[in-house]
Amino acid sequence: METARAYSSELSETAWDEAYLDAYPDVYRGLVALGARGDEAEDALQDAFLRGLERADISRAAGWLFVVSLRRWRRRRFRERIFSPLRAVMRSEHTTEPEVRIDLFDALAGLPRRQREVLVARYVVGLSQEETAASLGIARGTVAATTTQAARALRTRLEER
Amino acid sequence: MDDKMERWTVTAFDDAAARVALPPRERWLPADRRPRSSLPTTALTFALVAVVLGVALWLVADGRIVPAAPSAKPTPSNLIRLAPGGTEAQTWGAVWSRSMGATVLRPTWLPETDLGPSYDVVTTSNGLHRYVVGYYPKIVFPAGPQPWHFLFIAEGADVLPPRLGPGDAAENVNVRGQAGQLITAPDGEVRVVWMENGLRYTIQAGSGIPGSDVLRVAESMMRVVDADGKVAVVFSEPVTVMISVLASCSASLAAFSSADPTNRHHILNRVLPTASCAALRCGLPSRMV
Repeated sequence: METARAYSSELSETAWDEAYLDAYPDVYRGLVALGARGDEAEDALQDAFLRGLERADISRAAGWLFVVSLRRWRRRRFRERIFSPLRAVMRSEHTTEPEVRIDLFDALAGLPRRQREVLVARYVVGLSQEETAASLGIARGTVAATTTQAARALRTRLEER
Repeated sequence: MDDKMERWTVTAFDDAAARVALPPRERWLPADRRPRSSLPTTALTFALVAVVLGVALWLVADGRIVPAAPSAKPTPSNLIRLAPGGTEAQTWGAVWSRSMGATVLRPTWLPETDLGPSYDVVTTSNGLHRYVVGYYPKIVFPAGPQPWHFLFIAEGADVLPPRLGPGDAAENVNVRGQAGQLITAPDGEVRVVWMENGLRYTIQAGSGIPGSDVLRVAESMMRVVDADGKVAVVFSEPVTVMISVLASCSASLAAFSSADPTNRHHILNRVLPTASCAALRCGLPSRMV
């Protein structure tokens, strides 16, 4: 019985590993698109991976991973802002500036948070409208409307540059 | 979103995402597969902040602490609290012996007789700070406030008077010839406060004792003169007046008796007609008048 349970657990861990590794590049880029530094995105994804080990359901792994790692990164950013003087002493080599400046992501930063998240979920992480709606906890119609609105705004911002 | 816009969006994001370099694949999975917690970092940060704050507070507080100069008049440790059990006279005698010369006033009339006294005297090097003598029922009520009780309090004038509580009703009254206050609390508890002999005296009575009785208790108070709790025989003003009147009238009557008939008219018309002798005059035999 114990052996069967251990085998089952090992199997699910392997499945989660595969799902995680499959989604990793898109989610990592999605986090960077939203403003995370590379090391922050790595940490957030690894945290989300460990959280995922406790999760039985591995369906919609990319959407789940995106949302969980996004929260982890935001929490970490919040803590860093609060303790920024201490962090500056402890880890002076880190800055909040992204390593690579990409015009599209810079323009994206000027959009409202909901629009940013929807665009990244749809076009960087590659989620469908349904998956985006389920992951972000909003209606599918809202996803469609927000996508259109955000894309127009983004294009306008880029053209103004 | 139309197709043109859709295509633009997809292309723009694909191009941008392609420029984001991924970390080496061996770093994708965490080295340790056990759940990590941010607690150590957070706890360390909070501990560090606590230490910094503690040091700061210690430094600030340290600046305020100065060595106390030795007191010129050390306060004697003569706080005396005796349990009830002594007689009333012993109680007041003990208060008198510890009052450092302050005038101790003892009641000579109480509306309830079955009360046992206890006391508490606090003195300082400057003199009496406070004494409190309590009269409580010898039969203790099972629970709740003891309705029948009296507290006799005397405090130095430098002790701040207690403020009126919410709902207290204060009435200006004359207490032993002094201006005082009769204060009635919402629960019916009554206290009378007045200044006398450089002290502030307070009688506090339990609820259910009327203010008139408390004032009567105040009027009945007499000065304790020895360690046995005896009180000075000081006549109140009406009695003193009456004795002086009697003495005056006696002298007048003696003079009247010994006077020759020519002077009796003068005595009758100039001495005896005073108001204080009116009663005696009325009682004089008609043949004398």
